[in-house]
Amino acid sequence: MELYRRYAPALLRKGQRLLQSRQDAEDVVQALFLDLLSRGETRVDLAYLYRAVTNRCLNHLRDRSNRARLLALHDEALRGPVRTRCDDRAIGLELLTRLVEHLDEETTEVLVYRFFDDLGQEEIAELLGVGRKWVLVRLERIRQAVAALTREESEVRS
Amino acid sequence: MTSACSGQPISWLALERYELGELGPADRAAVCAHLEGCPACRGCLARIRADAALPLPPLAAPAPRPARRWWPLGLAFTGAAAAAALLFAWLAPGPAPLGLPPGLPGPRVAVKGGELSLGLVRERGGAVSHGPATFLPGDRFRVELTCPPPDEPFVELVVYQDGEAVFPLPVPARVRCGNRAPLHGAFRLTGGGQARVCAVLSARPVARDALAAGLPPGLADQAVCASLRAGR
Repeated sequence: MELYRRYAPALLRKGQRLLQSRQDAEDVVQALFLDLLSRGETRVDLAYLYRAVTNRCLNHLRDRSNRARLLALHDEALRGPVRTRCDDRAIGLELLTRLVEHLDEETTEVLVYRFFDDLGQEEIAELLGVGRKWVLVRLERIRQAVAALTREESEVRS
Repeated sequence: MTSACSGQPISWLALERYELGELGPADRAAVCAHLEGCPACRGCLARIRADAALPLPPLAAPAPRPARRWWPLGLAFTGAAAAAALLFAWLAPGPAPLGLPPGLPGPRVAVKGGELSLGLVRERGGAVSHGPATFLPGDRFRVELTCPPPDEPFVELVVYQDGEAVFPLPVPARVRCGNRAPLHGAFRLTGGGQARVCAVLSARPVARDALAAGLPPGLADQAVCASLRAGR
């Protein structure tokens, strides 16, 4: 399948960046393409597939047993270079799994694009078909959630 | 691993599109200009290029998790335990077959806006049959779901058999409702007892732990189950 050969490598990299597991990323990407095949959908572009993989990875992380397994076995090297931070803090898998429980689905999707895929505000707005202000509101929610979790952590330590 | 960028980083999506030759001339020129002065983003592009040497896994149906049988556990029990189980089966309210959770719905239920139904498609030695009642080792099954559009629920597939719950889909699938919408992922049955194949619909993915012992009351009215027994 030409679509798979062309885009699967980019999607596998994206899945690995998020889940930090080669096997789980392969499962997610394979399931996506099998789904597309079964629906006969071949006229999709990388932006569409990026969103689809993002949502599937997040659903994967919302499953408690997947979460526990990935936290125990993940390979941090698969995350790759971290170029975008939230309040000077890199968002890793551990923090992401906690944020998934605190944030709504739309905001969590924005979080992934900003802090794992390094998309700018305008790129996120274009990808999601929303206004830049909408993105800014979600980024502020993320900042607040990260700050709250960081506060909790420091309180627990002290 | 952290890496400082000289400005706004070139996103991974833009780098991927750059590498695929999918950027327009202006965007491509902007990426080129940034890459010249930014080692961090050049490093990301190098990572993408290094991956090109890795083989792409073949696109194949995900292998279902093999269902364990009761018998290895059964060996540990004595005749007294077996007798107690039989007695329980006689006295228990509702004739739930052994190894299946009680209270599972049928293959068709009325829901707001229409009907929810689950259809099984069996492939046996190249022959395809719809709505089968039996299975043999080696049979492959797919599920077709009918639900009222325009809903797009998450659907989890769970197979109850021999006291176990098996989830054939890698993750819950988001399904565009309609008439006999196919669920991706074929599966086989390896146990020997009666099986119930259930599709559970929900607005958000349901934790698999919650489905392992049967359908919780809140989800039972959003689920449909088809029966299969061993045999020709």
